[in-house]
Amino acid sequence: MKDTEIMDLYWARDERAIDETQHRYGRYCYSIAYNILKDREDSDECVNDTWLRAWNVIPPRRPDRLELFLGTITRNLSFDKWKGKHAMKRGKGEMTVALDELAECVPDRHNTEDEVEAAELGRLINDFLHSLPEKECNVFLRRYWYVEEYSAIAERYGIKLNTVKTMLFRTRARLKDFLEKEGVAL
Amino acid sequence: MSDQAVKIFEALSDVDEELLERCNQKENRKNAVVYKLFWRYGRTMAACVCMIVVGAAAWGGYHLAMSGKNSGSSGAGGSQNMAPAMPADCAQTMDAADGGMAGGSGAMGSDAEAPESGRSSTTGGMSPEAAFETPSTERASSEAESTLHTEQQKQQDQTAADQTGQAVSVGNNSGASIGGSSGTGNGGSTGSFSAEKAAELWEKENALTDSRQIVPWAEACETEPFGSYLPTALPAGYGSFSARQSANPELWNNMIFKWSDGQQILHLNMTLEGVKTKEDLERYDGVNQYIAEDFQREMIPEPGPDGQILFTLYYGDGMKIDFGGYVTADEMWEVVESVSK
Repeated sequence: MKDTEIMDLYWARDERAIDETQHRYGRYCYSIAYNILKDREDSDECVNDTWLRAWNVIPPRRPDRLELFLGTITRNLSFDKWKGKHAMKRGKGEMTVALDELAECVPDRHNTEDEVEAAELGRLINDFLHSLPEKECNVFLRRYWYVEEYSAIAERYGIKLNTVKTMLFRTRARLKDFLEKEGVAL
Repeated sequence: MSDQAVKIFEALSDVDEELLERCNQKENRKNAVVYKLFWRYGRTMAACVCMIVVGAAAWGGYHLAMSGKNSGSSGAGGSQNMAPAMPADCAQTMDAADGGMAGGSGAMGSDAEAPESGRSSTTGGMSPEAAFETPSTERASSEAESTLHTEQQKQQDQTAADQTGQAVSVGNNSGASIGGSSGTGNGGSTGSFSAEKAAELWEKENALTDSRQIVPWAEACETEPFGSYLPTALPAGYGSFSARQSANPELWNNMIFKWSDGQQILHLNMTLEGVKTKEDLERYDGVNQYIAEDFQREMIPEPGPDGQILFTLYYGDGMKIDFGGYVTADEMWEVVESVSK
């Protein structure tokens, strides 16, 4: 079933919409959740919650790309759950490592700067990503949007593991420079 | 965990969809790279393979020549030296394992009354946590101990029955352990019980999101259509653990039943959907998804990287059941068969 047909089911409040969504995007959303949570049950819960969320927002929304829309919901839910579980702990895991890496991108703050709004930060990061060559941008997103492991990224794009690490290291440094030039404080 | 890093991570949720879509595209270059790598390293690999083959052939020839020499001089002595005697404890282990498996399969024999007694049960007022409060023996770490475990389990069940005055329906030779019937839960679970592990399992269970709500086991067993699909056979040592139902059954008619042996979870995640055909499954290209009436023992998939067997069966009335557990294929098959029955 095509996305447009699935969307029509949502708009018609036909419960087959969830069924079809699950069959078409279940594995995709599950992989996003699992990359963050590394737990089958929690991932399963996040995916199920994604379907409920989608049901509640469609309509009135009619996303252009259902896959990415659902993936974003799953990512946000998974990250919220991850934060809840790790609030007091400094555990290991791919998510923790990814956040430690992103911490390198935090610009040095000057006392006179106000904290940037979340929406503005999103816009700036978008601008930054658009400025990157395609491969660097893809690798960055696979790592920090999908929280994929280095080895998975290397395999996906047919490049060496060290190349992935170097590419990400440089991209993070560039992001930090970019945010500092924009006068962003986090 | 840096708050600023969290902000950057969250801000990435707003990234343009075209960028995400681009990074999702299958990489055509990958095939080219694989092809290139093959030609760059293929000759080296081929040379290594040839050397290994030649080396193996040479070794085999040498060995044959030597054994020919030896057999000429010492008769059968040479061949006797090749097969080490099975250690006595290993032989005993295998014998005990056979006995244990027989005990186990006895435990899995279906008993038509067991589900009923489970449902009418004595867990009605018993929290699932209580089911794990009285450990008695450490979990057997090998099949060699399973026979002993089964015997101890019978004694514990009897003791529990004497103490509580309640009927115990547990996974002993009388049949399936359904319903977490006694204060000891299912006696089998006490035999393999670790208080810390059980607490960990419960902490995790209670921390799950609210898209499903915990339901008392007895009530869950009587909730149709799910109750009709409860298995009448469980692997030895497994007892009821938890049942959770969708918070919005009209939207998502789902109930998940979980059993535990004190270490791991066996789950049947049941959802009432529309009827599916084989053509539907082919269209969805789902992994490990089967029409229940076509499902055979040989089709049970291999365990995943975490050791769990996972697959989905679609039944004729629209019931979909996701089976999952850290059990053997034979044990899982017994469960599946008992659901069908």
